[in-house]
Amino acid sequence: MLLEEEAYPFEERALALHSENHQRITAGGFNAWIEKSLGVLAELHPGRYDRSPRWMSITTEGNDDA
Amino acid sequence: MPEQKCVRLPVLKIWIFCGSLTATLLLAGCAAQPMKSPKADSLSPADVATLVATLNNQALLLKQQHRFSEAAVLLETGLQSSPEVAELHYNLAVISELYLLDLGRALRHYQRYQVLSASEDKKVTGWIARSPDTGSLRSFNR
Repeated sequence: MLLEEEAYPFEERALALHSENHQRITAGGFNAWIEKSLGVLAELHPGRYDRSPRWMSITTEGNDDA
Repeated sequence: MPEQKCVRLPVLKIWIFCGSLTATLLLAGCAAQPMKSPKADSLSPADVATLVATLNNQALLLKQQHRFSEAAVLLETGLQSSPEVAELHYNLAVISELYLLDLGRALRHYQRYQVLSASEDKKVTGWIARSPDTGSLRSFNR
């Protein structure tokens, strides 16, 4: 059995636990532990949790030649 | 003197009556007129774009301070005036999904973001596609 296959159930368990912790936002609010869980979830399951907000650039209108 | 007072009192009453009638008519007339926002009329497209970008970035600063509900309110405010800005939809979807666990709202804004985006964002398409038909992103499978 490959090491990767052996690790799979542990990874699944970690995902479940961190996901459960993440769900606690609604009850107890955001805290450092939920933040850590979100970080781990983004690594283990990027398709579901890896989201970065998008900043917008402010463009200034003006004529540099003037 | 008492005679003069007797004569002036009814005149005064008439003036007060006329004044209050005029004020009432004026107020009624104003109420019937639609409210105009002079700011909205006078802002140039560049000003609107700057305002939207400022709102968006302020919302992300609130998110960094873990004030997620306030960030969402700010993004909603931006969307009320500029519903066609894709980034506002995207950020509201991310905050709703990961920090407010409002998955229905997240899905709605991801979908709106996809419609408004000039080029297709494959990541977002994947998130939407993997959401179950119930309109929830909750049961994503690995």
